[in-house]
Amino acid sequence: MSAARVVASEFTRRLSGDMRQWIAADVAVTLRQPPSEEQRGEIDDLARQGIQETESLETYTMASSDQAADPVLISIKSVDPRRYPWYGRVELDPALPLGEALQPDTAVVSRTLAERLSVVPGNRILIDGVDFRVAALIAGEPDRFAAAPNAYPRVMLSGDAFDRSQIARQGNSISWRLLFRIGAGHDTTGLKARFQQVFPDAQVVDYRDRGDPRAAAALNAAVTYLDMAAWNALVLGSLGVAMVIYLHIEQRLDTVAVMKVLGGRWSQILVVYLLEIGGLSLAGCAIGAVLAIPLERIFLLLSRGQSLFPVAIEWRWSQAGEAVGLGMLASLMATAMPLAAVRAAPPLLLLRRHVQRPAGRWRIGLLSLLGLVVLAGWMVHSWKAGAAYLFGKAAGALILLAAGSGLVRVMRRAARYWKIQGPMNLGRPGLHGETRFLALAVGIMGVTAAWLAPAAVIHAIEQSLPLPGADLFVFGFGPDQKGPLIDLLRRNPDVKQPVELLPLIVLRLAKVAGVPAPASAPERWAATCSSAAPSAPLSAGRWWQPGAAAPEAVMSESLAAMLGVKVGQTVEFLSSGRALPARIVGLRRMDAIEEQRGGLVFPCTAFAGLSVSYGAGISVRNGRADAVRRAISGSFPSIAVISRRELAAAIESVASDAIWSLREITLLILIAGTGILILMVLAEEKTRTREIAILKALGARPSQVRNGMLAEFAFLGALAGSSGGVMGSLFASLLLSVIFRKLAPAWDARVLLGATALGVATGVAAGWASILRTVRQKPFTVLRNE
Amino acid sequence: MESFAIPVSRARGTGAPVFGSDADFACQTRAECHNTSLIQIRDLTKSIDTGSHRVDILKGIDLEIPTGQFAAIMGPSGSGKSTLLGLMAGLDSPTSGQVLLDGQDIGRLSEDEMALLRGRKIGFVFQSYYLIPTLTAEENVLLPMELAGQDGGGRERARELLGRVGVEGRHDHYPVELSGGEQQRVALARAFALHPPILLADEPTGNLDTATGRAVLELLLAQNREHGATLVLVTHEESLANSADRRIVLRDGLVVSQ
Repeated sequence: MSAARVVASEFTRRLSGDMRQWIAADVAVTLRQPPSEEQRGEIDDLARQGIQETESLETYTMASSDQAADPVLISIKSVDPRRYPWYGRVELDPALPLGEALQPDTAVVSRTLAERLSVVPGNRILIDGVDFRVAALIAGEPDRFAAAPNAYPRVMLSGDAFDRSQIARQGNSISWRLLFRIGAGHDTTGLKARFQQVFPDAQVVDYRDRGDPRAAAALNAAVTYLDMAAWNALVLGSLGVAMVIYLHIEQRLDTVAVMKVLGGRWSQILVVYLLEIGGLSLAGCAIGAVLAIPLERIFLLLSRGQSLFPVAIEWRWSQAGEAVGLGMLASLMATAMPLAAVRAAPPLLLLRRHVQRPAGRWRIGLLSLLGLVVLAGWMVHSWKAGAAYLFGKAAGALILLAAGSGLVRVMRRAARYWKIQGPMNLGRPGLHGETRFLALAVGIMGVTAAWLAPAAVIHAIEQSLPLPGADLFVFGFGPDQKGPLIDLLRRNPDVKQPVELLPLIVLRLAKVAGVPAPASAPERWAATCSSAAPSAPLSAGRWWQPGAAAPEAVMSESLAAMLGVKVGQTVEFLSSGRALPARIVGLRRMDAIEEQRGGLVFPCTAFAGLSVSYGAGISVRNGRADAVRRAISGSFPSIAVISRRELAAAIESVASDAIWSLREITLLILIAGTGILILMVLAEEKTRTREIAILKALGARPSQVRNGMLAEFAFLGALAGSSGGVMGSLFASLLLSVIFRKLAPAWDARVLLGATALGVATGVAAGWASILRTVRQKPFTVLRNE
Repeated sequence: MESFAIPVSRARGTGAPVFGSDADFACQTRAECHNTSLIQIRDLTKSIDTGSHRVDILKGIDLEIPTGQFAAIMGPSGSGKSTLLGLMAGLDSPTSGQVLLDGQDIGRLSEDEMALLRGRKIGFVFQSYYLIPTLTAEENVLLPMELAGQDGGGRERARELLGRVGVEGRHDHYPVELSGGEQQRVALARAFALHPPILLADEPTGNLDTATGRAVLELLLAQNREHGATLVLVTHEESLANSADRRIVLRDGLVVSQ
């Protein structure tokens, strides 16, 4: 759990603290058109004051190779390798300096693109029909997620190479990112205000903020998730530690009883155990914190550079200290219950190995729970989120506990009619059937939820792809290309008519009801339009009226709530340097993904004279998607064409890059859970050792002992694994439904099977480890050692 | 010597073979039985290496115990009595020497063969009872039958045995809910479950009061007298040893008289 905490802290630190790397600059200004002469003059003026600038162009187009049949839609970025990036590093494979790799006739490409086009460094590819040599593969790119079209396989070119490709002249939608390094002695706040004045239409982000509150919310959600995952590991760890200590103390009952008989005060006994447990915890936590570094390295190796953070973890004393401290605190809190159980028991009962449950156990349990809430709240920086998460987990754990108790009762009854050994052991008093079931099931619940959540995010995005029913998407084309493209599609017999268009503009919020927009408002908005008022239901107001005197629009309900906009109020936007006032006439409930695509819907007449880019969804006859794509690419080589399947794969690819990092935490939780279960069973070893020796003395064959025990552990693992899998799926569904504001079921039969298999494997591994030695020993040797 | 005739067929008729399921162990009269050496021990040694010391517990024991005999092993603490008994039962392995049960060297048996032998032919009673704490009294008695693969009628037989040893009505109690004497009686019922021809008892009355100890001994003697089981008993009590057919005295790992 210490390792999970260190990794999560490092991720959190980078997510929230290393914004310079995320934007590769101190301030990044994103424009939808090239800077004007006047703006260039301002940049030159800033340069004279020591503020350095570099320009990065980002767009998408098609790439192909001789080795692959179909072209691939790519995200392309041109940079000046002498200056870019100001912060962070572009990692290449083979390791070359960026300046050496980026020549006028070369490109560096992502591993995904190399695989899709079947090329390796040294091979040639065509970008927009122009020939380039692949110099290297991109293993790490600091500001990848700051770029606008970041979902597709990546290509990086030098400015000269970009000019040679002539992509800019095709009318594609291009983002100009101006990256500034401010240097010491300059006032970032003042400079940012100046940038906003000079570039009124642009998005301006500096390293201290996240510019767009939606991006900030996404980052906060990621940080919270990571912290919760670490807390998850902590709770799992505490549970395991509590079990181990309970069993450890149970096995030392004779010693405790003798100490009590000889007049040992409870405080003396407590000190002995606290020192022992404290020492062990300290050693364990310290080893865990140190192990985080090699674990992270191994993981980076496995992720083949796809991890969100392509740099290995650095050792930080404060981070390690925090992880060790948290681990110690959780361990000591977890010891409260078992130590209290022993405190209440008279020595004679202890000598008979019969520990009564203490009268005030609920008080102690509640205190431990509260302690965990405080820890969770502190770790996720939100008491509300911590408590909600904890109680969600606690509810799951309670259901599992009830299931465990039911299982024990059933087994106890079934033992009257079935064999004594094997699964029936779960119902035996003193063999902790409920606790073992609970520990394993809660562990698997956490692992399943953590595993399913990212996959369910991808699924939810795929489900929300625009233009349902379309087989091909064409996008990023301007009004000039719209007519000829529609004409081409109309003449193609494989295309089903009509072709659906999705116009899109980017807006910047200026005023709400005549008052300047609040600082918390999103800076950049995506808006779409519809020729006729759609029939979709609204939660308030009405759709716009045809021929209204002033532009009218329908807004997403949650955005309206964020801005405090009411139906009937006017909101003023800026787009393409022009003011666009709109009266909000209706509110619509949108899920988070719909809102991201276009939180505002205008009548298309409002877009006249604005810089509109278009997307289109094309339905084609069965099996003709590739032919239609080739026809479009042949006539419009720069227009991006992608199939629904490829779009989903692209989304998955970018999501999986981030997911790799989250799955690392999941993996650590899994390791923690499995390790703890094995420890728990090993702690039970002494009880089972005596049992095995007696069984052998009574004539049990080693295979009988082994099979009986393994059947017990496999049965426990299967039940706990499947129950934990179901609860984890429910938990992930609930979590995502809240995040996406729509039902997002996280349900996958393969994951449930996997959870069951994991439960069985863990149970059997733990059981095997606990009996292996004893089964081979002579009964007398075992009993003598007691 | 008194006549001791228990026809094998009669005992088998009750569903319980006299000296076990193996006819080789059966003999017709006590005299006949005493002429056959059921347990033979040859030059048996046992040493334990504690890491810093080597302790020689048994230093070369030669012993023969005929079928149906009641032998008491005596000696001071640390003389090797319990170790000798454990080796006879195959619960431990000797450093050197041989233990032969009915002529068969148990050192040459595989683990599975040894388990079969222990289950069918040896009933072992520990001083510390060693009941499985997570099983009820009835389940503890049922356990050897289940391990031997005997299906059907086990629960009735377990209750009958519990009744015979005087703990009827406590069949669904866990060991922790029974007194020491009751636990030892349950341990005896468990040892008798498969009618083993050899009963080995390691100070079975050591933890019990005189009256309870006597009752436990009676149960063991009944198995020896009525069912012809060979009984080897480790004890410190003179009175108990006086009831035996033979007294074997150990000192410092050697037999000093028998």
